[in-house]
Amino acid sequence: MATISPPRPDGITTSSKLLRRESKVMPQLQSLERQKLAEITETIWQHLTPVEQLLESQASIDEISYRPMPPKRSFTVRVRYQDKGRGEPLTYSLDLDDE
Amino acid sequence: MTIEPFWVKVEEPTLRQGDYLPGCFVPIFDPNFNENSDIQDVQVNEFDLIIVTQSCDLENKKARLVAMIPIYPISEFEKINPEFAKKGRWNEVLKGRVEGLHLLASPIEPADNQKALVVDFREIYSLPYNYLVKHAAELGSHWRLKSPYLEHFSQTSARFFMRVGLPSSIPPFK
Repeated sequence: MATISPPRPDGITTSSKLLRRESKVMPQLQSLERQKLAEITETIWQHLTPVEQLLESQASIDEISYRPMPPKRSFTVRVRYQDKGRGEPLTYSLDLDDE
Repeated sequence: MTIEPFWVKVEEPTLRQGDYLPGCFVPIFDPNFNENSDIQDVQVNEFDLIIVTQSCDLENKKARLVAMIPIYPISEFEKINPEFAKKGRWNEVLKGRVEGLHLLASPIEPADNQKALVVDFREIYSLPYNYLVKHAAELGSHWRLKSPYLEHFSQTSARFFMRVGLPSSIPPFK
């Protein structure tokens, strides 16, 4: 018999008191009460299934990662290093801050 | 489906936040790079980049170096990250649920989501302002992100860099 047990995103194990899906095979052989119970559990099942899917998709989103992309092209250039001493500050006008 | 263009083409060598500059050269220094040798080899990587430095700092020439983020067609991104080709994965990026990634419509065909571009905020490069102005001039024209897509891009950038990781948290409500 199938059981409803959507995974908990926090990793906590669920109670062993699980909702059990009643069989709908040959309802004429079942009591009226059992048929009613099957209908109710089926309705609950239908409502819980999207919730389970949502929880599963949320869990997979949390795990989304990706690899860094390589450059379009990579090459080596030979450069000449030259020590120019300390650099100069930028010479933008401080008055611009007042505008 | 009609999509409003995200980009406008500019034909002047000016720099603004949201400018898409293809083919930028990024020098990567070797760990052994030092001042003891006057001639050295430096690796240069080529990337398509989008400017994230604020436009006011660029206009007033307050930025010696310009912050740039790599931008890729999603088809290229999927080659390296095939799990993103799965159905629904890009929708999660579109909703802002994948930190570090931001989607922008194609400049040419905005309605075709297969031609969209993805920005990766995990890598940021600073390139000299004067180099980028010259590069923009050599390109002749380049794409510039329009408002409010520009502010949305800028907001995603800010959200990524303002993240705070906590050592522990209040237990989730059940």
